[in-house]
Amino acid sequence: MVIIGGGTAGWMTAAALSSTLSRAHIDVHLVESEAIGIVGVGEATLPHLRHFNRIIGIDEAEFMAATRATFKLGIEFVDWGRIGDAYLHPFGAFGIERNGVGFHHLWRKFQHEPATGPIGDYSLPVVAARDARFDIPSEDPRSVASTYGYAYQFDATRYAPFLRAHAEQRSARRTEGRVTAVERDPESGDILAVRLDNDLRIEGDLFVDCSGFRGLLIEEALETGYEEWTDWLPCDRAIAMQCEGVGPLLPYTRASADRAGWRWRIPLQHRVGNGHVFSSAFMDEDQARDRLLATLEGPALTEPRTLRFTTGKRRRMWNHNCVAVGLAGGFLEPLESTSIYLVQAAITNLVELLPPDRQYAAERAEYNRILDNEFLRVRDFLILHYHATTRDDSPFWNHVRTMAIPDSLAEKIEGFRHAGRVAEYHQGLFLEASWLAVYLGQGIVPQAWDQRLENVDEDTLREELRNLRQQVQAAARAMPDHEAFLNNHCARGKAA
Amino acid sequence: MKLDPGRPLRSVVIAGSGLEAWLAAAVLALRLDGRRVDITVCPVSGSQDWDGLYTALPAWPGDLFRDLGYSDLKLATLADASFSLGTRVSGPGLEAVIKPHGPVGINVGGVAFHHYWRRVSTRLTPDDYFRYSPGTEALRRSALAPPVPANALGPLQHEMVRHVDPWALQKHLRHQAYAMDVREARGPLAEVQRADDGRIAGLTTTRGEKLSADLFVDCTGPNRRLCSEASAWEAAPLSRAAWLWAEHEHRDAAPLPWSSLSGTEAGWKAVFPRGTEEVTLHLAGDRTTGEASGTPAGEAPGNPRGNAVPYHIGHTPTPWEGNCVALGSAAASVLPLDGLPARLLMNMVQRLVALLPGRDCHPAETLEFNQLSAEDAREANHLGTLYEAWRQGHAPREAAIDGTLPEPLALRVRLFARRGWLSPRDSQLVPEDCWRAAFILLGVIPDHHDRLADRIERDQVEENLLALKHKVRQIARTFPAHDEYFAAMQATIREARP
Repeated sequence: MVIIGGGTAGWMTAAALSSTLSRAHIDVHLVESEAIGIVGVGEATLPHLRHFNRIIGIDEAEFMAATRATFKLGIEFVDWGRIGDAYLHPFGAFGIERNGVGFHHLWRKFQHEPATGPIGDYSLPVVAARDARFDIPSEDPRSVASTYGYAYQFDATRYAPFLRAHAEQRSARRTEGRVTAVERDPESGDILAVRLDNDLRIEGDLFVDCSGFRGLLIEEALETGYEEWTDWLPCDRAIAMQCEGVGPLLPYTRASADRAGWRWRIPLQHRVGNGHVFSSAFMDEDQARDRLLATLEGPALTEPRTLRFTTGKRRRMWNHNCVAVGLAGGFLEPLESTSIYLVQAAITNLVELLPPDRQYAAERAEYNRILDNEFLRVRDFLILHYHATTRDDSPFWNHVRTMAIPDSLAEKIEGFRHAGRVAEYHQGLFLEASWLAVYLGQGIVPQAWDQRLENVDEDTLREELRNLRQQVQAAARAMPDHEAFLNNHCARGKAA
Repeated sequence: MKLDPGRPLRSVVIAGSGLEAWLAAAVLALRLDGRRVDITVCPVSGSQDWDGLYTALPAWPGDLFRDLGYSDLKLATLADASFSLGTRVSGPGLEAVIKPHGPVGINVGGVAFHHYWRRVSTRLTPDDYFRYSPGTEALRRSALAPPVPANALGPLQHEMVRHVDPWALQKHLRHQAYAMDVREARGPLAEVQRADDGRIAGLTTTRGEKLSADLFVDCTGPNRRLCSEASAWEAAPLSRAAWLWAEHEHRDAAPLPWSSLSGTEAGWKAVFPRGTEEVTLHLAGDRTTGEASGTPAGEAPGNPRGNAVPYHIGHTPTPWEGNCVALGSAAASVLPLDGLPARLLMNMVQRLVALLPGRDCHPAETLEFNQLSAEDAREANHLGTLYEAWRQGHAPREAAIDGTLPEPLALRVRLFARRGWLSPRDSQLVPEDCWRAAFILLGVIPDHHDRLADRIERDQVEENLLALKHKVRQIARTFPAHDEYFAAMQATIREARP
């Protein structure tokens, strides 16, 4: 198995394959060139990464110390629904379901009563994040302290080297070199080998293209084609830079809407990652850079660096004997920290569907079906952030607010607006709590709530709300300060 | 409830006389409170003729009967329930094999048990695979015990299906619904009035009673008396318009602790234990050609509740149209495998409760209901098509290549055949255990196991499987003989009866 590219996607793939599969079955060979820098996307992650790290045998404390990581309880969205608004998309539930009726129906019923408060008051990760507190979730399912998950914010440029060491210890091989040619079987069209600038020829049965946006194998060699989604997600540039952190170390990422896109803020142990994602059709690069510089909270540590991208995905993520992972497979802006998740989904499915022989048409069809579904569902969720707004302060917001959206999303929004119904599915990344956070955070409020609540005495329901809110507040107060917890946790990692 | 002004949904009329109608009425009344929403059941002659489909009630998280307070004992008391731990399946090229209900073996490290079994077992037969379930081992000894934590092997817990008299259960559901203020119309349905836009304007009974409602629920079985004529029906691949009928036979001895399913040249025969009877459900013949092969002669062949009734496996993609929603066999007809008709019905009733509009029916709710229900129906019918292909003499492996099976199903078969892979799906109607058991039962033994199963040394896997088989036998030995269990249950019932 030959992996082309040694960035985050490449080394995640190598680490996963070499850690989970027997060496007798698979030879993992990664080709990379030190002359090519890594994009290092995805400093902010989703809770799924914990599972990935655990499966490949990475110690959390060691990983956090090595990558200067912080804990993450969610993503704060500022100025999205309208200027001045802010909400947190937490990695956890809002309230507790009541006899099959979602908590948000109960909250909606009493929303207009002052004692009810915002729905975030019923979510432990929201309350804890606001107070910059953090603790590992409880394993007792009866405890409110078990109702959330967590992720990391880390230095992506340190993650790849960390994984490299891990993968090489487990038999993955690395070859230095830049790919100069791709040899294909004239009959089947499959890739036979790649040639490197140092005259090496690397053969493989299956190739994993982790070469980034360029798609050295999947696009340049195999001409797979790309499905663009720029009509719905018009941002096509990102400027990234780092600065010193100021103030408490927050356990969440912030995404602030801007005039032609949005800005990210990702607090790490040693610095803050900043970026400005924007649409070049609505703002030029100089203006975008100025906006980013003007909003830095501390002294700049790096020069601004611009990335260009086209939102969308390859028409086939697995074409012939080549699987595209990471940016080579597609790109969705990191508004919901999905970049590393999509890499992980690609790798997990590849490991599970790794063909035992060369007759793998069925595996390829299944892999493409699953990955297409993943991308489409994330796409719809991202579009929601732009479309669900009342902002009319710039041509960009007027465009996204009024644009036609995919039917699949329009139906979901209508179902929620009409009756508080969150579309039900089991495959795909974002489930009910995530959709709720964005709907309610951006002003899509259901016109009705579940009728089943009408069978219950209102004072009983109010009492339940009050009790739950108190439990959440108490649980948050019992959590340690994020920075203190982190220092203690990472000290163990360093010692290890 | 609607916040802004508008007429809230205040009345529901359910058309039907069978278990589907009374279950829907009881659940709606329980969940919505009959005082706020008027629920009326309009009887429909003959709609209970399909109730035989609900002879098998699987125990699963979506079990509405448990919500309505029907314990196993209550079902045995009121609906003559007997219990089974598995199904004895026979058919073309397959001598009877006992397939247990529920899971087989224990997954390790995120890798399903069947991969470990595939890797080290020297006897790759369905019979050997199913012996990693306490249910199978108990059945081999004619023993039975309900699943309780004390007889679980860690995460491996056998499952028990309840086999009831659906007509008796329907009667009790009716009493229960009455107690919750559900009203029954005077006289059966005579006519459906439609407005110009195709929506139902009202129903008229034979006694002249006129029923109007905000929402109409069609529980009239495959006749679909309330659905519009334009409503589409997608027949399942390989299916044909057949006949469905039931026969009852008295048993002097205690019932057997398993059900059986036979695929024959004429069609399907499912036998269920029930109280002191055996109930045989036939799905056979060919209604479209008039061929009556295997169908009973005469008007009422041993079925006191009706004649053979038409049944065509398939579903409608739009069970909810306008102000009418079809439930159960009016929306989807599925093979009576693994309790699928009951699972499908309960899912639809629950979905209706969750989506019941606060006011006039809205496209958002109908769309959601239709999408999810159609996904469930397709999932059930894909499983049915797999069995049907096998019954018709197509080995699933070959049928997945030669175009006999529809492509989405064929891909699933090919993936399982190659590597034991089960395609993840949004619909949760058919549990993975059912798919896995069906594939292995029908001879689709994976060519390769998941390589992640190689993370454990082969010797260790062999040792683990041997130990598991031993523990399964041990736990099954603690189950009482089924005769004893049945006798004890009957004694309890006699004491409980007034």
